Amino acid sequence: MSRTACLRPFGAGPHSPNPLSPSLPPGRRERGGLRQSSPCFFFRLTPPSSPGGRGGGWEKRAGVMRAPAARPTFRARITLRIGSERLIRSLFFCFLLSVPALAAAAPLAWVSNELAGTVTVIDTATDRVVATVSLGSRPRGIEVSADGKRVYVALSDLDHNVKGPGDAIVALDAASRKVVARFDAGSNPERFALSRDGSRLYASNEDAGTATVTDVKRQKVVAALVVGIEPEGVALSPDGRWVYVTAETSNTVSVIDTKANKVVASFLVDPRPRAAAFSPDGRRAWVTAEIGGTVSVIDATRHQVLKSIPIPGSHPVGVVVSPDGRRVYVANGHGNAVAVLDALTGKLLANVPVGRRPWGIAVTADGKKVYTANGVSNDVSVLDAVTLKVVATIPAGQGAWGVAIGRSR
Amino acid sequence: MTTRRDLLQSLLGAGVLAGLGVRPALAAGPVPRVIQIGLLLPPGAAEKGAMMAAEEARQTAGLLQVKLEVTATGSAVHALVGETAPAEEPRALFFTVAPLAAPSPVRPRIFHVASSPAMRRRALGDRQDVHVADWHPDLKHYGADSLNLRFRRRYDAPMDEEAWRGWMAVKVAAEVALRSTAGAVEDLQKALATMRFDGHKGAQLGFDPQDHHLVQPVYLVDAAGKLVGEVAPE
Repeated sequence: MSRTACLRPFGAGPHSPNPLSPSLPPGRRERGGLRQSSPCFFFRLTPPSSPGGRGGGWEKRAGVMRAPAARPTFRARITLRIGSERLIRSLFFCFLLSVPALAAAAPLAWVSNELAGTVTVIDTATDRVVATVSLGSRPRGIEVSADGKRVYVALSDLDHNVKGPGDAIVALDAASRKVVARFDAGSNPERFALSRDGSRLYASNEDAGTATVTDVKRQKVVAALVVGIEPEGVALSPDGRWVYVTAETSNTVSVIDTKANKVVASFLVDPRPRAAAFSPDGRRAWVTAEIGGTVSVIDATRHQVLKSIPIPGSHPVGVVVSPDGRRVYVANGHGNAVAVLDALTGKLLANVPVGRRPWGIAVTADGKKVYTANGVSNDVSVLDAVTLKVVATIPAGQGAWGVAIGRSR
Repeated sequence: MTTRRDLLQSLLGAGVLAGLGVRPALAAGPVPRVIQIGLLLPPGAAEKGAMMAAEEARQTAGLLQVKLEVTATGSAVHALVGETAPAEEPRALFFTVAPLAAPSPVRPRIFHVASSPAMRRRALGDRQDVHVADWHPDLKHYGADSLNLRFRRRYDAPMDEEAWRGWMAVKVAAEVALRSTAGAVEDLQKALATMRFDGHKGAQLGFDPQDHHLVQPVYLVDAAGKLVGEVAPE
């Protein structure tokens, strides 16, 4: 059992009943643990429960108690077994989370506001704005590094005719919220992906029809690859091998082999593809088509379209796959809703109305909440992944565009 | 090279596949190796738009390992783009760019990229102070700004409705050929019936089966050439 399991909240969704909390009454499971209020953790160690127990390890009970809030306080238990060799590490890890002002343990959501030129920082524990960072022209694509320490934001000149000094991807220090680095990512960078080790940025250049590969350490462009016309969506496969770049006018997805830094394949999808996302196992990818009103399911091992799922009345833009790989959340843009798909069957489970023109979409690492950046209502909608209801609407800046959520802080 | 999908498609036809919920001609199978499109436009704005779309289509085809040939003759096998419909039945799909003044009889292979006379009439209503256009160089939303910018950068001129129709006609012609795994004109015709296109207008565009016109949002422009409104199709 991995140590992260001790943090995985139960009731993450109807598809993921938590095997670690069999004694929890189902009614309570539904309410979810780590949602709105500040959680506090405590742990109790007990001797091995039975001589025949797996690994003969200790059994740790971690209770999660929610601070008094709008909802009634309740207590739940997660029981898990950990190998003795992991005990110290796990304890330390959980200790770290339990000590500081507890709200600070929850990850932050970072929202780019294209027209306001700012980034809104939201505490996902309280769903309140904790800071607004001024960045200048047209912040659009936004990503948080895997370690949560840096936030990368694509900026571009308002005059997107030529490459100007404002065209860059900047890195913010997540703690100080100051720009600590600036990278050349070609002209007019829009969306981008950051390699898991943080060494490479892959950005789409809308007007130039290219994807730019930037070496983060050397702060240098290492490749500019011709992709489709009006490239936009950029997604990196979980193993880091492939980058998918969607292109709005040519209706294509181009596949970059990150080992060779070359486009090795391209395929057609439905009209005006806007974004792509890989499943956690890397076997599938999902590509939205704004004008097609569809999401295409891609066999990401062969780079081929398997099927196309129509979402009635939608204009799909942003897409994200839940951490457990079971759901796909699609921001429906001018459809003003989030479509929830079953990743296995492709079935449309729900179409949840949110703010106006949701484009960017992100899910918390625990899979419990989904955030959309709504560019016309200038706010962020927060969806509860269990109830599929909007549980918070948070004001953001004008032209809210993208949203990224760190794993931890 | 024939795949099972090709075979299925040729046996059943795209329409049947579409009826079964299978989207025809999504690029799961190989596309024809060579696509031929004929441009029969006289020099002018529409021809400029068409040339830009032809270059974009060539680039797209190149990514898909397809050769796209653009000729200036009527012998192209996949699609032709011309100002108005030819007198005789063309061998390939034919897309016209000039708007029709009055409804004309529907011909199976001929499609019109301009909005229909009925659509224009409806958009105009009783207004005397404006006229109806299929495009405007000041359009910004739904990627219109990108398209206007590309045209302006290339020709140092605004993309007017004529230029847009030329561009759209070639885009549609190339897309139907690229997405169809079979190349015969009957197959393309069937594929076209279910296909939807992006014209940077924020709406799904497709050809009306009744009058063969592209159903699309249109724009109201005042006497000074200023964009004053948009009318969505019914």
